[in-house]
Amino acid sequence: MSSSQMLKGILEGCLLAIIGKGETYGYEMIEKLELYGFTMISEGSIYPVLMRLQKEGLVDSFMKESPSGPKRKYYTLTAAGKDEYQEFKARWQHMSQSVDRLLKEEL
Amino acid sequence: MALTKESEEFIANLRMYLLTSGKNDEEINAIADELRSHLEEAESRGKNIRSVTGDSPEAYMESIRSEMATDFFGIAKMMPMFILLMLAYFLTGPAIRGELSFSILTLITYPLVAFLGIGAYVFFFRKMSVRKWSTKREIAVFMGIQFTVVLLFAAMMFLDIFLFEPFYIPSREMAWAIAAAGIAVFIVSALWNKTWITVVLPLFLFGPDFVMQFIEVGQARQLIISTSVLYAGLALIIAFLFIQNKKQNPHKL
Repeated sequence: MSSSQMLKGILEGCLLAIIGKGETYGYEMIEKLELYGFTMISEGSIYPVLMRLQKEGLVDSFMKESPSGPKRKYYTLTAAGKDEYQEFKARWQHMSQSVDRLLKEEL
Repeated sequence: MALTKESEEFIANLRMYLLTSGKNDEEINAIADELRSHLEEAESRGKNIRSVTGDSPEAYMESIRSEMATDFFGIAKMMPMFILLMLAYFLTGPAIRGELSFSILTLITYPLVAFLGIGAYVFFFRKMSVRKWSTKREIAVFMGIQFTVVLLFAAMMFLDIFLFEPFYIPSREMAWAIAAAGIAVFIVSALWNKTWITVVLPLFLFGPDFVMQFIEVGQARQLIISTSVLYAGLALIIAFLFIQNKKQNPHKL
């Protein structure tokens, strides 16, 4: 797995997490991700991921008027998306614990 | 809200790239609108387009393209109308003038050259939308394609006149019937695609020939009249499209 592919998989999981916190739209997702320290990705890279998540039936979208004018595309998690998020969380915790253990332990 | 010129260009290029990759219109509009509203918010906060597309807009467009299914059904749906339109453009003029004839050569090579020309246009539109070419280069490429296509058609016409016997020359009545069918195709296509271009353009292309079938003018004068009507018509269409574009996108060039 190349590092960009790994980042893709992680980004998928993180977007599921962000959308799971409540309906949201692209720009807001980026602001939230930045709040958590995700500054390594370019803003646009969430859109191909959102397209894939929607294709896989993990998220739903609907158009909603924004206070500033034009309609925005909002996303919500589907039931399958919630399941996938739980699985991602378990996989990630397992993986990050292993990596942590490996890196902290000085043999 | 107005976007910077760079962002407008990016969205226009993305649309062109996805369109020439055979993606579905609605899906193209959806992602283009979504990115536009993202760019508007980003720019209103003082960010530039690179923070959205990353360092390589080309790679970014490609990442979007690869997530979209190719709309084969949409392409297949367009094909019959497209072929009918092409035939109508080829045949209506000669049919009106009563110069219609079919030989093996024209039957095989006209569609071939037409498809080659269209293929070349689509190919270069795709190339242009991901790579930033100078306007000069874009114009040079299109003039090149246009010139090649015209040259090929001219070469075939000469070959056809000197080397090939037509196997079928329609009667005058049959030619009028073919012309009428061509006109019907233009009208149906205009209604289908909700555009007036396929009605107005043929009007300028074939209208003068039609009128001059019924009045006596010399052949030289006939050529001058039909050519000048065509060019005046094209200028009108382009001017109209330009004004319309300006009205719809006042902030654009």
